[in-house]
Amino acid sequence: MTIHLDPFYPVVPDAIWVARMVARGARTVQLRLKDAPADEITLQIAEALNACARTGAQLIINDHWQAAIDASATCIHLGQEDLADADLAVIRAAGIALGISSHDKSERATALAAHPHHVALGPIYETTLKKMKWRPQGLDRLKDWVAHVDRPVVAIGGITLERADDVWACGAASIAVVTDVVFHDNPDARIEQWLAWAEDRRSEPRAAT
Amino acid sequence: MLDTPHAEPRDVTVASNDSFKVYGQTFASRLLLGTARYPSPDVLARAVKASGAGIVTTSLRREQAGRDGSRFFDLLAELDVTMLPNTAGCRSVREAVTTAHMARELFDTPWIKLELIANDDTLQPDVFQLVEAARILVAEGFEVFPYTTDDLSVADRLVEAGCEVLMPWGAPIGTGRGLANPYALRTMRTYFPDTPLIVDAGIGRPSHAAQAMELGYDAIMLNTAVALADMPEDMARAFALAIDAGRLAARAGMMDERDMAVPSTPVAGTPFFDFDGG
Repeated sequence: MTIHLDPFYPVVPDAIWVARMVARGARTVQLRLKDAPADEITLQIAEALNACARTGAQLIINDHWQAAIDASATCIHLGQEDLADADLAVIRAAGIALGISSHDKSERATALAAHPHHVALGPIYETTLKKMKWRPQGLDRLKDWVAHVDRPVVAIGGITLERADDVWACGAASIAVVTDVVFHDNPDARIEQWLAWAEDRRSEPRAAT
Repeated sequence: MLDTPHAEPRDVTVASNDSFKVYGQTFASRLLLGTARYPSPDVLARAVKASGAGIVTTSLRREQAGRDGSRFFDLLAELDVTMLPNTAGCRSVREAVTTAHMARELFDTPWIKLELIANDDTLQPDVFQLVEAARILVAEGFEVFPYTTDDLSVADRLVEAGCEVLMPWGAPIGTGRGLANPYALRTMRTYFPDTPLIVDAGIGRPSHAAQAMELGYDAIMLNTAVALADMPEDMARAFALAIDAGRLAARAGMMDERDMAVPSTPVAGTPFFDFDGG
């Protein structure tokens, strides 16, 4: 499955947020649903795909890989714990693109062994969102990932628009953003600022994207 | 096809002060057109133009599944009509509320045509969930257009919930059977003299639309009758004309029905007429 990651991709908690993103021009959005009953997951994924279909935006579904496959989604994202539980044979047979999180070199190797479309590294900066056992990775680590991962590297964790240029300069293919959009005082204005930032970077080549 | 060039869609013009108002917006046309089931986007665009409709409905779900949504979306934007997104296909309050929120984001409008389907055979409104969803959505700032039955107790609850317009069915969706219960619709009109009432669903022919307008309804919502006509563009225009005709008639004041004939030409005073019959 050939998919493309926009330089900026927001990570959002439900389908309504997905709609809000694509209505304002986001080209890549990750749907990260909390645990919910199966029918709610199905509904949220279907609605999010509908919203993305309107503008041709790329939806990435976090964690719920079977529901994503059932809904004919084209990209999923798995953390390392999710990866351990997932049936990679089924995922590969479905032809769905796979992104995998990594936090250290061991996880990076695990991720690459699954032949993902892209690999995420985080947290780049301090993040308040999740309790993490990893200290911030920093920009040098990100450069190391870009150098040693032969596919797109997604930078995530504590990245604000003010820090975006520094992160981008390390060679990340895309910047995944949670807090700086969803928990921003004015999400709509912030999305537009982020998209304006992304607009200027879409033409910049990135290795293996 | 009629052997005449296509005239401007609205060459029958109802008095200009007779516009249709709903939720603070004003429209020249009293036709609301659905955008599903057309043979092609191009046919849809031409039908919308020919209909003169100022409001078109769109489904967040059906339109998009498995095809190029962005093209359809762009097309609707070009038509310069007011979008009324609907919750078609929703079967639970939660689904409908989620869909409404999605629509608000995607179309940047508080308008939502609220449909909650009770069963597959009749696609009839689930009026219990409809009222519940309407209460939730109105409280959240939505302007709700509820697709309902002609039941007055349900309609009362919807108005109490804050709906400023009601959309009773003519007949089940897609049947084209016209006004299955004109008596109930007439009663509803009398019961809600000041609430905008739109007959929604079941309209198959322009005469059905004219009949509803003659009953004093404010507008007509339809989709299949135009979308599946052999020539949707011509049918759209036929409906526009019928709706204007029905509206003009309702305002002009129609004669009462009588059981016995009454000559239209007075016979008194004609030659050889003899009152005594002799």
